[in-house]
Amino acid sequence: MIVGLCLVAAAAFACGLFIQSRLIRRAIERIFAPVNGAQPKGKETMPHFCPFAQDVLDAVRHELNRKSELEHETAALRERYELVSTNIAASLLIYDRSGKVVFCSPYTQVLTGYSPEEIAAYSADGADFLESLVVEQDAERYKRARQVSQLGEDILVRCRIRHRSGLRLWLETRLVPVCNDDGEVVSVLAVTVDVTDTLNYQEQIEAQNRDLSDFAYMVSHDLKAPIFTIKGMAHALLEDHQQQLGRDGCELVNYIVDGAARLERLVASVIEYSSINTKEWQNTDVDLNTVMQQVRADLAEQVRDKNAAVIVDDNLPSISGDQIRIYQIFSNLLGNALKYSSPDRTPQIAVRGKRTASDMVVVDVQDNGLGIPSAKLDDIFRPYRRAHGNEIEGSGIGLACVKKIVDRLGGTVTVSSVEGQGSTFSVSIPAAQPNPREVPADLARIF
Amino acid sequence: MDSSFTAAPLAAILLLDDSPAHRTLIKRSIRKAGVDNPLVESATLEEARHALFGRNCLPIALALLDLNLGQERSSSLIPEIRRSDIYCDLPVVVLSTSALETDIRESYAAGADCYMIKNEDNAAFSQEIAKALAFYLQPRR
Repeated sequence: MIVGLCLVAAAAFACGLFIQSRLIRRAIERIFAPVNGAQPKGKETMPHFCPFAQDVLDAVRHELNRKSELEHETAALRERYELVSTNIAASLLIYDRSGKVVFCSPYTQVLTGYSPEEIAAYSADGADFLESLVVEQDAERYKRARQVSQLGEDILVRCRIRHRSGLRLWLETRLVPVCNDDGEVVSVLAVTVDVTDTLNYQEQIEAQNRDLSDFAYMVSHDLKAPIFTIKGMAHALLEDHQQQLGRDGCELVNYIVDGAARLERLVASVIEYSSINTKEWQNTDVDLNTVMQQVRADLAEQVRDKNAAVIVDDNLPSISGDQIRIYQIFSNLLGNALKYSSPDRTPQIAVRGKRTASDMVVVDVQDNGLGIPSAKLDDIFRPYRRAHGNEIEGSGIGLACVKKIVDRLGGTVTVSSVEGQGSTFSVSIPAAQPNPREVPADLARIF
Repeated sequence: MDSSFTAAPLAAILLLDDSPAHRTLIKRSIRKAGVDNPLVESATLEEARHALFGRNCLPIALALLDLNLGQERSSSLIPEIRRSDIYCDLPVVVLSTSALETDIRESYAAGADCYMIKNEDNAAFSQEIAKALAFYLQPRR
């Protein structure tokens, strides 16, 4: 009887186990069902052998689905990343905190001639691989850029390197620091491209421009001698031979004098324009207040003659550049304001300046003079394009000089004008600022 | 030989310029300035040397030298003048149409006393010449 009971109990137990294992198996099947949204069937029919089983199983299934999704996403991203970093025509280097190269894209070998393995080996102790290739003249610049990036700043640097083959290349590297939540730099990404062709082309253009400039400069100086002859002889005829010439003869000679004078002004203007670049620039911080004082002093006579009122802001900002060229900008602008004043009213000239949020200095020179016809506004900064050519004497080069100097300073010059009312010339130039890239002494020692 | 001398009213002015037109214009300006000293004209460095150091030449009291003589530069003559016994103190005025800084520096470095730019209109140029002549032709101790 006891044996019978035991057998029944065992059978019941075994059935129970069997049923449970089937349940478990089905539950597992449902949990690991494909993640394409197929709803597990018969959810309602799953027997409850524990009140929270359903919720627990749902949560586990959800997490496993998410894990699978994330794994797929990660795999896809990794694939894309491999595709990009293998095929991009740029060198990608990632440096860790100690300067070791932890990633090097295949194109680095094209750019430098060294394989990623060689690069990794070289930089195992933190030595900067790119730095070892940079030519001497650019070494300082590259080092400073690395230092700046270690301080957490994004920076672009151009330098020449020696390729393994011996070839010299111009490379442009963007250093992107990666910071943690505390703002510390944990790694730096260096993206480097070959800009040799661009710079060679640029150099060629600059050399050609210099050639033309020098040529114009030298020719203009050589033209002075024959101009002296023509002018001098014409005057000599008028002074010493008036009788023989008679009135008609003198009139003809006067035309020679006029022609020579115009020629002289033209030559002077070419010299002025071409000497902007042929004479060396000496860049310093230039206080615009000092410049304006000098301009006013030099134009004092014209100001008196025209009875003009000139008001200048007294707290003008400083800009960086060649003092003489900067003087030329404002001498031209104020000189024009006086020259092209209206005969109908007292000339009033105002000079205002301020420093903008984007570290530019904007100076406005406003007058109430003749203004510029709108048809001529587009051309006004081009050499020898004059708005008032016939009535008022001028070389036609003043504004072209202003534009050339402002361009070289990295700024812009614009004009707004109403004919018959006046004009406002607006010059925008980068402000002088203390070098933000100073590396603190202790940091300089470490890096 | 005495290295200093008193400029007599009849001492000559040396005018070196390769352009006959310019020589004519400068001569005019000198005469208009009321200066009657004889003028010794030369067109090349060689002629100028002859006028200064040759035999039977007039004593020169002032040298007016055009800087640009075609292939030559008068700045190469100035050190010779300064090295000589007779003319080491000779007033030398360099004339030029050029206002190039390099030319000005070159002339002063060579030993010129004065650099005058030729491209003023004649009235002003005459005045400048007159002033220079008056200054350099005055009796020296």
